[in-house]
Amino acid sequence: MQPVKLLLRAASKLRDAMHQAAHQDGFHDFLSGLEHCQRALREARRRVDMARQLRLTSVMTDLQTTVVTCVRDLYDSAADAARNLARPTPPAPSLRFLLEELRQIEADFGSLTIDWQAKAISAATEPITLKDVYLGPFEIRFFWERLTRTMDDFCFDVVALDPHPPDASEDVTHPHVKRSKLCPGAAKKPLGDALEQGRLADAYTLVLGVLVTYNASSPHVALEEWAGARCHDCQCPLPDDDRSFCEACSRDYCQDCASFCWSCDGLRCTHCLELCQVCQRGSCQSCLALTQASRRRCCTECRRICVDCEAVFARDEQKHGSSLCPACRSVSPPAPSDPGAAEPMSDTLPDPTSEEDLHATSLDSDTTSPRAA
Amino acid sequence: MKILFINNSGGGFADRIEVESGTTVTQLFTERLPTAKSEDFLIRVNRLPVSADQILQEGDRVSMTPTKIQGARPAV
Repeated sequence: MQPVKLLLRAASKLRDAMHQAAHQDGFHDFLSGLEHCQRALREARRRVDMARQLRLTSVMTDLQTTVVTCVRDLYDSAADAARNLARPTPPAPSLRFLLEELRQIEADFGSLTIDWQAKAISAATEPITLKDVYLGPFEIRFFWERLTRTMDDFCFDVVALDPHPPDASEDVTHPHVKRSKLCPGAAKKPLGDALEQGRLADAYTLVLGVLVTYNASSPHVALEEWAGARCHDCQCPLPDDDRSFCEACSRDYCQDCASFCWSCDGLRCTHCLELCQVCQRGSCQSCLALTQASRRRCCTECRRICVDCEAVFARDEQKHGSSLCPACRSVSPPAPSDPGAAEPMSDTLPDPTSEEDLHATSLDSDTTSPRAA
Repeated sequence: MKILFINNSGGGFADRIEVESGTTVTQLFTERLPTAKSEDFLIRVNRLPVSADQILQEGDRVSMTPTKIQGARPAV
């Protein structure tokens, strides 16, 4: 624990900084804003006068609208300045109050250190792990001189004491800390209020609240990518320029774990490829189709469509010269030039004949038919 | 009776408020932060942790600070 004498000295420094900040440049800023609006109005009026002299009637309406806008801005700025400049300057917290704040920080964090040279008060957190990603402990450093510039999270640095940055960026030590600057998010307003009122212990608690919470919607680096992108299959590290993205499962793979669909050339991981049961080459599932006769999944190269019934069949089920599926071939008549043949042998289909002729062809060749008898 | 109430969540609030005698910490929390869960807050009276049923006294300093706060990457 810090001796009371040192805490009192630190409290005194804090009070001086807060007192200086309270009497600081709100005055200057509001009047500067007012002067800026006055300049804008003068310029807008000058343009209107020039347009009138040159009789530029086509632009007059727009220029006058600009003047009206400038007048409104000046009015708002003046009202804002009057309201804020009239507000009484809040007194800086008492020495006793600030001493209690420092004691509370020391109690909450287990220790407190004062860097007189850097003009900073520091307290360290316990090691922090978010979603099984170890981030280590952090030191929350408050620089009291920064209060004279602004009373917000800018006064804090958050320094990783055992940094475990992601592969993607060494500057990021926590999903919400980059280059030692905290992104306070929902804590920004209450943090600023706490500093304005001298409630330093509350400010430290708020900073800690951000560090122990993961906001997945807005991190510098997502925790899922903390260890860097890895092949979804073999888990080897994936450099940015060496990733294969499988469009079927939407994951990244290394070149060894990815391939191409034989049918559509799409990049796929090996799990999203299925072997064609005819040629044994890999195709994605959407490129394979089930044959109706043999119930085999075939790629685009290995399947055929029956010209008669449009059934899908495999190329190894196709007979030379026929575009019929096995089922249609089994019911089609043999070619007339070779009545004993079970299958047509020519490359072309037989000339179309009438049903009667077909019937006649099949009866003439049948010696056991009633007519023959 | 008057107490100093500090709410460090959302827009923040710190001011003296009037509460009825016999009001407990839990009752104040429920009244002031009706949609929040007390287990997500660090509640102190006069800088000390307290039980939920502690009855507030005149002049107490009550602070309620969320322990889980969503940080965010600044908008580009």
